Amino acid sequence: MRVSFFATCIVDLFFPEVGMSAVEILERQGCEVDFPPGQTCCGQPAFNCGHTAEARTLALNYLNTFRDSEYIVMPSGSCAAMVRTHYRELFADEPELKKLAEDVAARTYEFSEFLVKVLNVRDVGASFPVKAAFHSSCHLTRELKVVQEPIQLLRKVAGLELKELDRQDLCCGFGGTFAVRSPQVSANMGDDKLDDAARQDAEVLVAADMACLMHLGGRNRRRAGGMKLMHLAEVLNRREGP
Amino acid sequence: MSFSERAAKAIKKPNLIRATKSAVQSFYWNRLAAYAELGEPEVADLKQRARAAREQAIGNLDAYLEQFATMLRSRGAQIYFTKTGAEAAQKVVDITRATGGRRIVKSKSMATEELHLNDALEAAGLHVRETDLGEYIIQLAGDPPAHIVGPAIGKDRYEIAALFAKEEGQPVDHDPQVLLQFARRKLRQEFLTADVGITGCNFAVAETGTIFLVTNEGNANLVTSQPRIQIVVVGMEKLVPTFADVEPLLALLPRACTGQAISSYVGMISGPRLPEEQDGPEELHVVVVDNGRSAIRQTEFEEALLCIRCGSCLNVCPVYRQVGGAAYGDTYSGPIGTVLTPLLRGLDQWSELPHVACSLCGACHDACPMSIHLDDLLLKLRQKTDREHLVSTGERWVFKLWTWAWATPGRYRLAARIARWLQLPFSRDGWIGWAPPPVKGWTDYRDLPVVQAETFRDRWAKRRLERGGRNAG
Amino acid sequence: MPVDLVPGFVAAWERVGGTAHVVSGLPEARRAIHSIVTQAALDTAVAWDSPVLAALDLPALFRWYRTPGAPDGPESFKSACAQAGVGITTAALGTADTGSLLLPFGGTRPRSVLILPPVWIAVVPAQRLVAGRAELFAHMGALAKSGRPPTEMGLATGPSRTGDIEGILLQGIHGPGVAHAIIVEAVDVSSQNQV
Repeated sequence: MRVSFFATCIVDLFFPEVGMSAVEILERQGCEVDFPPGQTCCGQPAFNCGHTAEARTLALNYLNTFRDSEYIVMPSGSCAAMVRTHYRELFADEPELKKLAEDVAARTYEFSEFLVKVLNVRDVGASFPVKAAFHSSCHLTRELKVVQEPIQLLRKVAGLELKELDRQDLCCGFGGTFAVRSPQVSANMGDDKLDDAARQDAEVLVAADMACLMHLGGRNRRRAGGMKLMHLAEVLNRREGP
Repeated sequence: MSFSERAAKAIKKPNLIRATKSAVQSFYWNRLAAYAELGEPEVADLKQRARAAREQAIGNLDAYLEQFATMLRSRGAQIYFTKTGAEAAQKVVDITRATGGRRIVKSKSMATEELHLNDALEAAGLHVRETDLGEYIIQLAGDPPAHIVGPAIGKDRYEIAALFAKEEGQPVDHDPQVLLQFARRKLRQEFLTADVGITGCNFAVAETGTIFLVTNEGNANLVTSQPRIQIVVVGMEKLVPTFADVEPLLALLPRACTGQAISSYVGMISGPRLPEEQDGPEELHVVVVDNGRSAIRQTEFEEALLCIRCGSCLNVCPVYRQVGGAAYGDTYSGPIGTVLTPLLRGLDQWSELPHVACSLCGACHDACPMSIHLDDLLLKLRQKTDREHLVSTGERWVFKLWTWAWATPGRYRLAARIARWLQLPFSRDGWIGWAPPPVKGWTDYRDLPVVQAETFRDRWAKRRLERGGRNAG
Repeated sequence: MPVDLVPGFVAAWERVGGTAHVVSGLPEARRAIHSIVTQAALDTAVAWDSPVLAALDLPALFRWYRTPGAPDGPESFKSACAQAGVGITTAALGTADTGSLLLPFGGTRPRSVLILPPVWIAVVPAQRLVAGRAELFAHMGALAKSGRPPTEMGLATGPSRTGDIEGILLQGIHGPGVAHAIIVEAVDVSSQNQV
């Protein structure tokens, strides 16, 4: 199976090891992974601020880059939701591009969703003896409706004890430019999320979106917290004995 | 003052934030429990029917308003249609004066809050008293409602006791039962001596000309039974086509609000009292309020008019619980306030709100019993601020430049190289602890990881080269 | 049918803080009211004019007992309601799903009897209980659409309550803090279908 990997700008620039983990897992599952070099960003930051013309420019680049891909997989629920639910709005008045957008969107998957729904895998052979909580990021949950997939994968990680957050429904506070426009509110939201995980006695807070984790990790570091923040792909790529 | 400034002020009051979080958390759990009791299929059916009824009404509002007015007039009520908030408030003042009224009791109504009706009545020299306990408390404090359903949720018993003591001119104990009895005694006097009662309206039935009033305290029952004159202030969007349409709406409203299967009191008013009746208003006046609603109809924002003011979106909003209602700066707070305030008061004056009061998490849409796409509406408001140039020139240029740089992989790589160079003076151990604007907002509260020396694409290229080399070898 | 509805109503009514009494007939209903007012030392009452209540011979239980049809007091009926210890009504309908009682107000059925006294007693023939929303809305809709609908109908579910002080549930903020429902299984007055 041929898979085109969309790294997303955040993983590309800040967290390349997360991308490598995801690729290694996909390859181990027998996928032939390529990285179309034309890719940059899905355009979500501009779109979420209301700058649709700018978002359209970046969306076009995505569509051109991946138009011939069989499957497009990315380690982010938020970027996948941008492509899947919002691209068609950007090309609402351009029938040909709209069709292309819908066509490419149908081949676009978030990483855990692809593993479970397309590859039909639950156990990727990971082992990681740790107490972990999963933060179900907003767009992954509410726009892509990917709720059970990450949990199913985490349950198969040998030695991993999965803890449930009291308020898994609450946003972590990242929210794109929200994090910079309302930084104090955003940080307090992050604190509530980190405190929730700590309350569950979790050592690691896992998510399927690096943007949430960059915010939570940065906040955790600033307040010298003990929580470890990890992307789902990093957890699934662990092979540690107890 | 901006949202950010008001939010910062609220965050400095830990008691307020603690009380707000605790209140919305229980509203939230209670709603989930109430929905679970009904079961998912029934909730889905109720939501679908309720929304269909509201859509039908909003789609044919003029005809339904006319039918509603005709029915009520046929039973002796008087109906007035008003355009602006000031006009509506003036109409209430005029009715009160024309009927010789001086003392007014009110039951809870967000529409009257929106009109700043109490200010207008007081300016006209009239005595007006809010009778919902939460509204009474905030009236004494001079605050706007902190929450659509619980106007005083940010105040604890000590603050309430202090407000009551000030009103009484002597100390009042902070025991909740004592506070309750104090309010009951004071407000009972108001009910018995008032000549005008003002209510809002939860649902207005076109088919039968019925005004629905929903409360737990029973204060609306006192407002509609004791005073000589009753004035109903109803937002023009409150219409439903038929009496039967209220069934799913009334099943959802209290469950979505407080998790109750039904509120303690539901009143259905169809006219002034008849000659043989002992109580109820001799005159019934209904003031229909537009105040910006017409301008929302038949636009991309029309869906906002489906709102039934249950407060569910506030209860799940991750921003609201951190800042409380006052931060939103107007009558409506939380997600619905972030949408409605700019629409009702003007986006040019309120262009900041949709950008700063929302992380686009979408919890509000999930929680809304009318399934209003509040997050989409927020996004559309942001798009409108872009179209109408209501965002700063600086921001527009940042996004233009960013898009230009990231539109091609070559420029993107160059931008990454520049970023690595720019971050040099600020980075330590792979993290940035302080950076100038526009990154300052980030680094004021959190550390920022540096742009890696070797990005994913660099590593990919290297990997391919190695593998290629191996293969070749 | 009422066999299933009575326990449903009782459970729902008590869940919202009301007290329910299921009695077999009118004499038992009278005894229940007597016991309620004696225990709470209530000696004044206002009540609806209703065949069901008239059959109970309630005036004898109180120091004074006013109905709108007996205008024999010095003051208006409304002020009698403001002074009375207990307000007694019937109900046109009760729902087993939420424990709600439908009160069609009118000349013989004033609003103030429900809302002014601190204690409310509703005497409800068991035949008037229905399962839930569907039947309730059919009934209310028919009333609302009739040529002369009640100027006000009310649904009351338990006592008056508020959560406005720190979310603590408190009863009796404006209306009755105590709400008794007396469900009468057999009512043999001729006009039992009248409210």
